[in-house]
Amino acid sequence: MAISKDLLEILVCPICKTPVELMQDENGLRCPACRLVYPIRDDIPVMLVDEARKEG
Amino acid sequence: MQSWKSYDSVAATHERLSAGLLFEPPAREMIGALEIPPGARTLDVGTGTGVAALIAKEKVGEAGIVAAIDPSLVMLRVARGKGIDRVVHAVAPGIPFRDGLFDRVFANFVISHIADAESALLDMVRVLRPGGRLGVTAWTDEQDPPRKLWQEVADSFVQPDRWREALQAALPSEDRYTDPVQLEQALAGAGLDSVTVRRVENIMRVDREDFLAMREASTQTRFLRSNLDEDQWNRFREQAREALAKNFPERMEHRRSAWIAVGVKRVG
Repeated sequence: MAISKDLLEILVCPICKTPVELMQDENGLRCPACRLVYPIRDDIPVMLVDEARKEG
Repeated sequence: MQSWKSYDSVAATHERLSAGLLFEPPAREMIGALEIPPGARTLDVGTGTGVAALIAKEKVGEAGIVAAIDPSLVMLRVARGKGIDRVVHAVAPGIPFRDGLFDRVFANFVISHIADAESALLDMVRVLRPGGRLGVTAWTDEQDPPRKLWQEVADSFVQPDRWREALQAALPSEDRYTDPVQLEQALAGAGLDSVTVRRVENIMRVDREDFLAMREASTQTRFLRSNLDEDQWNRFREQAREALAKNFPERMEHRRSAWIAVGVKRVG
């Protein structure tokens, strides 16, 4: 099961509210403004600031 | 999150007993008061095992959306298993949706858990469209006789000030929102008009063992357990069971009353 397309369309970064983008490997959601990547665990987006990693 | 404050360990009991008996009847009242039209976009904040979200799903139909957020990944998996497929691991404040996206936003017994409940409410109102409705529920401070008795036994195992400390940590806004006036002011302060607060009472028939299991899944008991060693914990359970058996029938009446608060987001 993948994250539904309509959910991806409405998700934004919890910090700056910029729409997030699915990473190419589909393992994370990237905020282009904050340059943070939010993980996806068990097909559930983890939109928690503490869990995000700086884009490297 | 500290382990005793997390719902991860009690998701199964919560789902088997508390979700249907304790949380669903008030959720149904709240969803009813929100008058959700078919096709609406809705958000369940602190969905837990998806109790309120599932009721909303009946209302919005195929054309609508029910999105759900929760700080417990374990709970979200249960909610997804029940048919809530748009689940997101997130908290309020920090809701990962854009301004004005939703027609209805609701939080079933959630705001008492949030230290900065005012910011959480503001964030819920942010994602609501002007004219959209927000609904929240909170327990009253009434305790029925079985609950009072259970608490007396629990109090004999843990000092009162330790209780207060723990509840303050786990349910930092509980004291405020057992008061309907403060609840109404909180919603008005977050930018809602036409705020109504209504009391509903839920009368349950439960077996003694199920009552105990429901109490054991509660925040208070998770705290109690984390403070007692194995022997003390077993003694506590035995004493609670005996006290209930002495005072109430095997199948007993358990009443919980709640506040249903609803408001409309100001236009302009």
